[in-house]
Amino acid sequence: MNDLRNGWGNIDEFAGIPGIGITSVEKFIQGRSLSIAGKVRAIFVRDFIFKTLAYLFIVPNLFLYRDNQEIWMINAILGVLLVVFTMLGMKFFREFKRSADPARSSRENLSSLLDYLSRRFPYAAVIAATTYLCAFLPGILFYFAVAYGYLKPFTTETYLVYSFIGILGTISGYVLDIRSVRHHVQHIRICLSDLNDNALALASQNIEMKRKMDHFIVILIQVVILLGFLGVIVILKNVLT
Amino acid sequence: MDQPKGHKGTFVQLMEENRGIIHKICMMYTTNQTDKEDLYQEISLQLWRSFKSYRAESKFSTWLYRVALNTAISSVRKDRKRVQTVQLDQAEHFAVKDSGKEGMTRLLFKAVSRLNRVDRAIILLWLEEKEYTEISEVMGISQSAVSVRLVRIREKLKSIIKTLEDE
Repeated sequence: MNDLRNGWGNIDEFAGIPGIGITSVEKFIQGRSLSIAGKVRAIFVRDFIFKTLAYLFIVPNLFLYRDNQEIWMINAILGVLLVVFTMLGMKFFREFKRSADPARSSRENLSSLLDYLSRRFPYAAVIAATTYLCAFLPGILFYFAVAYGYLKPFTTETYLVYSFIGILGTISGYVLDIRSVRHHVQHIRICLSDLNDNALALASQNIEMKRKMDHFIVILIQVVILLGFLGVIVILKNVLT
Repeated sequence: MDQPKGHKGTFVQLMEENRGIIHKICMMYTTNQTDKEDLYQEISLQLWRSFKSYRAESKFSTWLYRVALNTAISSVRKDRKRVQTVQLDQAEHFAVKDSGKEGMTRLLFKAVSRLNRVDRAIILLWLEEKEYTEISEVMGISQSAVSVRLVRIREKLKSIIKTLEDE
C-alpha cells in the first residue's frame, strides 16, 4: 500500500487548474450549485421570489380596491398571511442553513441534513406551495383592476377553473419539492449507511420518533390551507353576485 | 494557522495555497473534466460561504477537508441532457510529475473510483498522510473505527487493483 501513497504523492497537483481571483469568487457566488444543500437553497430562493411577486400584487391591490371593502379585506388578509409565511419561510431557511453547515464532521453534516430534509422541509414546502395561492389570487385581482378598472363578475365555470388552477398549482408545487428532496434524502441515507451502520440507525431512530406526528400536522395544515382558499373563493363569489 | 480575516483577499490567498488539495478531492469524486470543474467551483463556493464563520477552533486543514469533503460527498451530478460530454477515463484528467509512475497512479485512481463516497474520503485522508485523530475529526467517527475502516478499505483496494491488473 505504500506504493499507493507514493503514487498519490506523485500527482502533479496544479496541472490543468487555473488559480482563482476575486472575480472568480464573485462568479462562484452567482453560479448554479450542484450540492444537495445548494439545490435546497435554490428552492428557498425561488420561494422568496414568489413571495416578492405576491407582495407586488397585494400592495397595489390595497390601493386599487380601496372602494370595495370586501375585496380590500381579502387582499389585506392575504397580505397578513403572506407576512406570516415570509417570517416562517425565513425561520425555515435559517434552520436549513444551520443544518447544512458543511464545516462539521461528515457524520454530523449528513445526520443534520437528513433530519432537516425528512422532518422540517415538508413544513417549508407547504409554506412555499401556499405562497402560490397568495400570488395567484391577488394576481387575478390585480389583472382585472389594471385591464378593466373593476372586478368583472365571474361565471360558475370561471370559479371552477380558477379554483382548479389555484389548487393544482399549490399541490403540484408541494409534490415537486418533496419529490426532489426525497431523492436527496436517499443519497444521504446511502452515505450515512456507508459511513457507519450505527450512524444511519441512530439518525433514523431520531427522525422516526417525530416523523409520524410531523406528517399528521403537515396534512392538517394542507387541509386547512385548501379549505381557506375555497372559503376565499366562496366569499369572492358572494361579493360578485 | 492564525484565524483568517473575512476578506476576499485572504480567502483567495488561502485558496491558492490549498488548491492542490481541492484539486485532488475533485479528481476523487468526478469522472470527467467538466464535472471536475463544476465540483471545484462548488467546493470553492461552500468554502467561501463557510469562511466567514471559521473560528480557528480546529486546524485550518481540518476545516478545509470537512467543508470540501462534505460538499463532494453530498454533490449530485448536473443533468446534462443538452450538453454532450465526452466521458473520460477517470484516471485521465490528471498529470503526474514522474511519467515512470504514471501507470501506478492511473491504476490507483481507477481503483479508488470504485469505492463508495465515504470510503473515498477516508482513503484520501490516509493518502494525504493525515493522523487518525484528524481523520476521525473530519469524518465524525471514532479513531478505532477509522483504523478498522482503513484496514477494510485497503483490502478492498488491493482486491480491486488485482482485478484491474488481470483485466
